[in-house]
Amino acid sequence: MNLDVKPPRRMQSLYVIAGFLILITVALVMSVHAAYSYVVARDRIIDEIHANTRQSLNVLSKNISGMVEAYAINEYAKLVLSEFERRGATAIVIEDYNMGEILGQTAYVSGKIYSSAGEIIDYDPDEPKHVSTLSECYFTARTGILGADRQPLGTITVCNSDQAINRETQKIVRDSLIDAVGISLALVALLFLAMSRFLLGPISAIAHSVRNTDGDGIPLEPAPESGTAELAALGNAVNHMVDSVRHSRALLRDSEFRWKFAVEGSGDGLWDWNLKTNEVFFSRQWKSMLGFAEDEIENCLDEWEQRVHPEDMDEVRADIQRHLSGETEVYINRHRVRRKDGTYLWILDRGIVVERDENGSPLRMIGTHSDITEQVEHQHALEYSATHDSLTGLPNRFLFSELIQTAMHRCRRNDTLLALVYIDLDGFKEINDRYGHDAGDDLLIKVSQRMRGLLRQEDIIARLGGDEFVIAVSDLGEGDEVIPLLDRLLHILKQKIAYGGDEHALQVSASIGVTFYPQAEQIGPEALLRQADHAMYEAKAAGRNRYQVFDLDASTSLYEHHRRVMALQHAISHDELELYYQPKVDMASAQVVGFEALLRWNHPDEGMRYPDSFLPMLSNEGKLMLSLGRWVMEAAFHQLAELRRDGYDLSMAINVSSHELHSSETLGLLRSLLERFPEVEPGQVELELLEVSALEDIDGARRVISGWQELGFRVALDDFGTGYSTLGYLKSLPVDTLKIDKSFVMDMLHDSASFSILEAAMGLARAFRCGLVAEGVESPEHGEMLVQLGCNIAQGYAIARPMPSDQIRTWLVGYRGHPRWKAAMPLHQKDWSVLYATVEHRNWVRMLGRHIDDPTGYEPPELDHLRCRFGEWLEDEAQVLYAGHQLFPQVETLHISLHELATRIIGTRDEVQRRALFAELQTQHEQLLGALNELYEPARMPVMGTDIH
Amino acid sequence: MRKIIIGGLAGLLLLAAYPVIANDETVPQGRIAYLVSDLRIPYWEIMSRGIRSATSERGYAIDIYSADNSARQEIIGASKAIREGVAGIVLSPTNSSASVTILKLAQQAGIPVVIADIGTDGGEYLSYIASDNRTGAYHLGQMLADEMLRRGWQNGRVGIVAIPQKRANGQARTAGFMQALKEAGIGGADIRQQVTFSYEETYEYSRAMLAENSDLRALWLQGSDRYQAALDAIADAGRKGEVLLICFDAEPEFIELIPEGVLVGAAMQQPFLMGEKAVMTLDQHLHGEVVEKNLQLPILAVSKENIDRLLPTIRRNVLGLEVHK
Repeated sequence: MNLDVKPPRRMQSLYVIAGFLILITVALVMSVHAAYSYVVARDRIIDEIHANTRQSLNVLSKNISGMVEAYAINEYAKLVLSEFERRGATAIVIEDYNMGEILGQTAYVSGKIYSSAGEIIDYDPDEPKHVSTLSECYFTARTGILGADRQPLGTITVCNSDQAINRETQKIVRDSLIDAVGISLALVALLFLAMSRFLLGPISAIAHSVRNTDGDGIPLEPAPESGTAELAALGNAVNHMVDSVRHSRALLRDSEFRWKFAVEGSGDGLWDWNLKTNEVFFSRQWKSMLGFAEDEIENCLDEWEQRVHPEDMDEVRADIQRHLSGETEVYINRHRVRRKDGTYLWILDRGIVVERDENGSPLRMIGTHSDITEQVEHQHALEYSATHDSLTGLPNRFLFSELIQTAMHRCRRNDTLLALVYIDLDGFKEINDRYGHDAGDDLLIKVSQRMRGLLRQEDIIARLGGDEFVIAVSDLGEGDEVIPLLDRLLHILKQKIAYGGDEHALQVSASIGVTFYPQAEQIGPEALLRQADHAMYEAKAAGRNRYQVFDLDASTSLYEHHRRVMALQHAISHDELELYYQPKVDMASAQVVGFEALLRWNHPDEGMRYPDSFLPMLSNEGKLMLSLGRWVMEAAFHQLAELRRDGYDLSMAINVSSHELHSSETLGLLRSLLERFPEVEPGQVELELLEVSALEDIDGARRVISGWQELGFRVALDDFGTGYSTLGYLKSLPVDTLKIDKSFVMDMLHDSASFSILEAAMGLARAFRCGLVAEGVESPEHGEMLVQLGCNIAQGYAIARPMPSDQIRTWLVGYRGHPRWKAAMPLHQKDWSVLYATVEHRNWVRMLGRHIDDPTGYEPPELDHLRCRFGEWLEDEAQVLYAGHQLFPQVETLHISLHELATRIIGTRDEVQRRALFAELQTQHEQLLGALNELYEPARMPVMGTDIH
Repeated sequence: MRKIIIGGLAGLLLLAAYPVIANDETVPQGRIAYLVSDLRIPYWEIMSRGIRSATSERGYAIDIYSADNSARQEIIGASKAIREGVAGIVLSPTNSSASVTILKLAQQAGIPVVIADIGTDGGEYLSYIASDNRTGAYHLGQMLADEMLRRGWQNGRVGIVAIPQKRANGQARTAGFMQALKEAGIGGADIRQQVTFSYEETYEYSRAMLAENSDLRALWLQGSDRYQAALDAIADAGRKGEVLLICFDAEPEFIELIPEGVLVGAAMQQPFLMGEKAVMTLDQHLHGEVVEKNLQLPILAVSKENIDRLLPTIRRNVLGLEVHK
């Protein structure tokens, strides 16, 4: 293919430009040269004329007098001619008095002069032209002729016109012009030859090879790499470029294929937005996703905008604007889009500007819409499940903690009081024991409904667990204002509740503890709950069916507080503090990733104290906390530096208090530590924030975290899940790692709620591209399940307990990991339901065990194999996923067998028989778990973990 | 050197005395002026006679201005002649340079000039009449060669006492003479140029050549007036009768010496004839005829064999004697 590439019409030939430049240059040089030569020549000629004239006069005057006296006219005429020819005068005229006397004239005038034709002729005094030539001469000199007796014999006149000057200068100009033309022509010819031979020829060859292209515009033949070094380099560069283009085209083709496959395979909709025209190309899949046919959607932005949920629109626009302005590398937004049938689907909208103009203004943006409705709904379900009590629908402890935080903040802002009311039902256990759990559940539902009916919209009620409820009443002017509510609560809670057709079957009362916020000292929601709980116990101890307000004076004293502060200050200054280090490992590879520095207080009287035992009481002492934080950081840096010097490439996690987070000194401290410990790479230090402290001032926290990250430090959110994180908060905090609180990890094996929270946390970490670290790995099973979920980085007792610094190296040498973790493989997300089912089944066995241990204290689990949660999974989701698996029938059989065994156990009164059957049940349970493990296929899931090594 | 001394001519010298002598002032043809360098010299005087004779024959009056070898006088004469409005001028200048000025003045006045014998360095003239020196010398050389061959001296050589060779007539004479010797197979021995033209100079040159060249069989004098010095040198060398002498130009004594064999021969110019030719040329021009620009008159090569035959011509054209008969 020949693209017939032609140069733009206005482009000048290199020949023309070079030739023109040479001509100009030579003309300029020669003009200057000619002007200089003219001046020099003119001066020289004038000097010569003067000199010649004087010499002529001198010669003639010396020699001519004798000739005049001898009347040798012809002789002196020859002398004059000789001088005339030799010196080049315009005219030489002799006045001969002697001859004139003979001829009857004043003087006989003779001489030589140039004729108009340039010939030397005799001077004729009667010829007007000769006379005028003499009078117009440029330079005239005259001298007298004296005889031997000093008598005047005549005169000699030598004249010079400027013709000689003009002739000479014209000659210079003419010669210069000829030189200029000659040199220019020679140079241009030489240049053209050289250019043609050494430059244009090879360039034309390269251009020819570049023009001769295939269908994709790729040259068929390589450009020649001959000629001069520069042209060879050009040819080489062109070939290299062509190779690169060819390679890039191949990569692009592959990429396009993969992209097409990925887009079509994923079912995502594709959009391509021209920002100049606002035209948007929507792919067929995009339209189909919304339920439209190909021709029902036009290619304009309105088609999309008008379908975005109004509540999401502002955020969508803001995110797009951030990306268009360059604040974000990728545009990502989750929002709802209306289908053709009016329903909304959740989409994950991702896009990127692919073209900008020279000013950086975006011109074109391409992106995809992924249908994540199912994922979002599942997420919402998980969130709801994680934050609400499944029985009563009330917020659980987790959500309550989040809600009360907001309420406390509002009261503090509005200068009002918040009353925290802790309710424990009196006699609930008896109801359960007497009427069964269903009755108890029914009671709880109705009680919660009644309490909710007493509350205002802004009040918060939650079920903490069992028969314990908590209510937060906010915006009170005085504490007494809550008393009517307390009375009404006591009243309605002791009202009888119908059950099983008996309207008065169930009756309980309530013991209520109350505390208020704010207080003289700063207090957090957990402490507030403990106060209310304490007061509730006092009410219960006082005879139940009453309320008790927490006595602040009795529990706190300034003296006691001061003593604690002094003690810790003393500990800091007297080396009573020590850091223990708990390893953090990659369970799948058995590689040690790093350590978390944990504070210990070697109290001289009380022995080793853990932070939980002294820090909460002192958490409001800002200076003390900063001092303590400085000590911790210095000690941790020191230890990390020593490990680095010993050749260990490990990270160090350091806990940071809220005071350090919000202190401007922390950044300076970190900088100085980096200078003091040059062995320490900032990327190997992970600063762990408590989720709670980060949320107190989300904007400030974000700025501080960014500052630390700019220095190279990594930031982790500690105890994730125990705080009050929402998606919005997490999105605002640019943390690198989430550390899942150990309580969820510890319970994950048998508590589906914990498992759900763990799963949700992993989803969040994946969504926000954070690393994930699991705390509280206390058994091989914990680690195995975490690896299967794709969370490899963990710490916990099953790995190692926190250890003093002098044991670190010994432990590092001996650590080999756990075989089960190394053998475990991550699962496809679809297989996570198996893990979920496993958790459910473990819980079922655990409940059965508790029941066997304490039949009156614990209800047996669901014995119907179709109604237990595992059974429900087996009948529903597992049928879709694993019905075709060869082991699936075995799972079903084992499940039925387990339920049969459980039924027999419960029906057996012989304790020994029960224990034996339960042992058999546990064996089958293990078989079931083994069979479940065979159902799924390991897959290379993206591993959730920190990339710290 | 070109003086011809002829006995009995002394009285005629008065005719050439300054100022100009006008023979016939009523001649209708007009006046012709003869500007001559020095009428006291016989050669010019003989030539003036030829001029006078010719002007008389053609009806011209003649004004003769002798410069007496003075440039000033020459210019004065020329100026006067021009002012007189002569019809033509015959010019025998003091030298060829002086003639240029006279020619220029005459040209400005529109007067034709014929130059007789002494040439000019430039200027416009009607005609230049001179002797054919080369041919004359050639014939003289043949004459000597014949004599030497006749005597069996073909192996002998010839010494030359020459006038200055920078002069055109000197060069022409040497070239013609040497050509004749060469054709005869006779070699030249030596050549010495005269400077002072004195007796002593010619004698010394002759003596030296005789002494230095034992095979010298002849001496040639390119002038005639110092022939005695050469004869004396030959005699003093003891080679009288063994060395021949031959001369250019003529002395009246030669008419005697040649037949006596003292001299082998002489080449003689014809001044009377030249004067006549000059006037004839002017006359032809004034009558509208085309004239020769350069005219060369033959030189008479006189030996004892032909002297009798040429004597009438010699007497008229060389010596100018017939006019006064």
